[in-house]
Amino acid sequence: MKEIWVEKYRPKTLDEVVGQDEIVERLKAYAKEANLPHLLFAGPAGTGKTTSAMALARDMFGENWRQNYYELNSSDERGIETVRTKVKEIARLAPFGGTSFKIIFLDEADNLTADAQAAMRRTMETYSKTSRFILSANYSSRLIEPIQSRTAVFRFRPLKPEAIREYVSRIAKAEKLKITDEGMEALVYVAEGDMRRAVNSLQVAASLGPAIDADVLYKVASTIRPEEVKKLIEKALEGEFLRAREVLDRLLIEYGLSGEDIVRQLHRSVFDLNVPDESKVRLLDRIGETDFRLTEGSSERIQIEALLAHFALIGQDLSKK
Amino acid sequence: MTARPILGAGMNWAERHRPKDLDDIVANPTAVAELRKWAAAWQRGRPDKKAVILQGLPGIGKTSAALALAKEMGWSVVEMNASDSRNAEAIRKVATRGAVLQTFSDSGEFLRADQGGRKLIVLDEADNVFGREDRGGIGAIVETIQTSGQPIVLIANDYYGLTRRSSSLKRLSKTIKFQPIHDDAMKNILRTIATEEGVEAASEVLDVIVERSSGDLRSAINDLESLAIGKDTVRGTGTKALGYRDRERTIFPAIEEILRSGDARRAKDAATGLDESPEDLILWVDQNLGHEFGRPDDLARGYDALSRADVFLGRARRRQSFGLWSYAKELMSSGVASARKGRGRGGQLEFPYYLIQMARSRAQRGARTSLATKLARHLHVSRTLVLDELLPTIRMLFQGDEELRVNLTATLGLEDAEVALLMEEPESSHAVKHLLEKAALVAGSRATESKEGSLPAFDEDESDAA
Repeated sequence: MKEIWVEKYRPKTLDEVVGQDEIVERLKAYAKEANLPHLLFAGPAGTGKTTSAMALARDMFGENWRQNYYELNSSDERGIETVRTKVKEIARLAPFGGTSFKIIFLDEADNLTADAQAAMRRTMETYSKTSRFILSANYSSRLIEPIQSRTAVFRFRPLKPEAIREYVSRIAKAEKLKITDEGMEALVYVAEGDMRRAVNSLQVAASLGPAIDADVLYKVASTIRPEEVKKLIEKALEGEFLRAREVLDRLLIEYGLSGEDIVRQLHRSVFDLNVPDESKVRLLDRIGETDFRLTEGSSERIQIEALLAHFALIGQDLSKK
Repeated sequence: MTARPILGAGMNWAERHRPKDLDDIVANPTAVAELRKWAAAWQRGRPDKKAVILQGLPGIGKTSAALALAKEMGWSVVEMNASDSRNAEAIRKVATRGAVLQTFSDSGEFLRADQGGRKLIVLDEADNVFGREDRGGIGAIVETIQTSGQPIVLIANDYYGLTRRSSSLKRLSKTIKFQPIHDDAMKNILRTIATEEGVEAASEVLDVIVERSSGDLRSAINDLESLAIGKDTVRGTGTKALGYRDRERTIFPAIEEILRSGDARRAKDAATGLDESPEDLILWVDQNLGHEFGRPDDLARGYDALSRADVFLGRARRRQSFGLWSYAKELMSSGVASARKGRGRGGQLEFPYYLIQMARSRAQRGARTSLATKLARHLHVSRTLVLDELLPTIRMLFQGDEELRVNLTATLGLEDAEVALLMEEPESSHAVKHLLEKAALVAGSRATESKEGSLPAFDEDESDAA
């Protein structure tokens, strides 16, 4: 059955997880002892946090692991209500089939509001008999101290080229693909240590034809990255404020992105801009301020417009020089 | 206890057009069917669950459904809502009255409870039975359910708020969920009401009302009524929105003062003289500031002031302290006016189109969100990551391979609007229909397989975790 490869080839057991050897060793010990403290998986996207949690559950609980494994995503519902209702409701359920606890995987936990995190802390204590939590986060520092201190922290690093090569080769073999050496290097380069991106790029490239070389992969990489935000910045820097606003409206209205999504992408791209460091720092400050205002409930369009006006101002300074 | 107002003139539209019969509650057919089923069980004796909890957001027909049910069954109604005191004593009183006393029916007929004239006890806003003020209220409700021989309807916006206080309440009651009113359905209802009221309402106006309502029909009807008071047409006008045409006459001169006078005092006076909330005024300033201010430094300063004004609006909203509006109003007028050092561009002022575009695209955004939710669950990532990063990839794979397309559509149960977004084809296109037919076949054959137990555990949807 044809499906999306990141799911089809997601490692099922801890043995299949690549590139995080030390972490896997420790997790295997938990699985063997059938015991687990609360865990915190910290690290960038695509480094195996969710996969390791699922694999651990499978190794620990066996065939019917899904009955005792729950997955919740905090970035979509990050208020205190979620913790008080959903999380708590799941946490208080008794584990199935004679195991002593179940695993609750809380993805992107660093997106929970401070209130919600505080509520989490109590939930983790109250229900620790029936529930062990695995929190995942891009940045462990965005979790409040009391939560960090209640968890064993595992730091997932961007995957090394060897790990990506190893896993991609396995998929290539299973799918009967021919990847050239340059193609493999290109894949490692565009992945930037993110296995999800590597596998997605590979699948898109494979859908275009059986021969996978560097050209195809670079082409794929440029098409599967959203370019609209780049356009937004370009127009603003060129002083085309109204054009930039059109792009902004398109992102908000047609693409359905939230203001916070857009600000986050702007943030990510600042260091790639062709502007002096001093301007980058000024922009960072503005972006941070905008982000903060949005979390306070300000209007996304007006706040981002104000940010774009500053991009335009910096653009003008540059063109004068 | 609240008396039902006499139907007829002098009532507001939302009350006057409250559906009288269950058949008139068109937007929540499943909920209505469940409610009927529960009532039918009462005809045969006592059902397992003597109470139902009608759960859902405000303004979507819960109370109407309860009252219409009573009418259909020929039951009289004993009603309590949050404005009544609801401590244990008060609730017991009502409950016993419902259960024991003899009353007249609506038609004046003398009915005795013990002779089969049932009474429906309706406890509106049941989630607002507060611990302290309404002492023992929840306990009394539970006791009433246990002891009363009468059907009981509890109505709540916040289901968790209600049931977390008492697990027996949850156990003793059947829960029926009401959904927010769908955009198209709401628009139809508004159109019908407008016609019955003898008011002509333009389609664009209805779109904006629907957008603002977020599925709350009562608020939408209130909006429509407030726009229509004293008029026989409510039109989109040249600028196509909420009766904004009349407002242009007064708003444009004020916007001119703000953007073109360069004088903080004059700008402030213009803003103060307007009968507009700053929440609305800021939209007009925002739309025109970008056109009017040519120099980048002017624009940056202007938007600094405007964005600060917006911060104050947010604070006022959050804290419900509308005294803060004065700062917002000054920042968006004087602040903007004094920001311009260079020359303005001049030219025609514009209506804030953004709102209308948002209104028009609402259905599409809804489909995008639901698509992202399904993909997020399948791929074990957040919705934001799907929207932010993964959608272009999935779209390419989806468009590039039919087998994958059919499988994914079947596995995730994608609907036409969602498929249309992935295919980048119109919803009504042949390609979309063809795909949905094929996916239905696959889904059908999988359902048979799974009965035989051959569906691998790994493909199961973990919706129980969501």
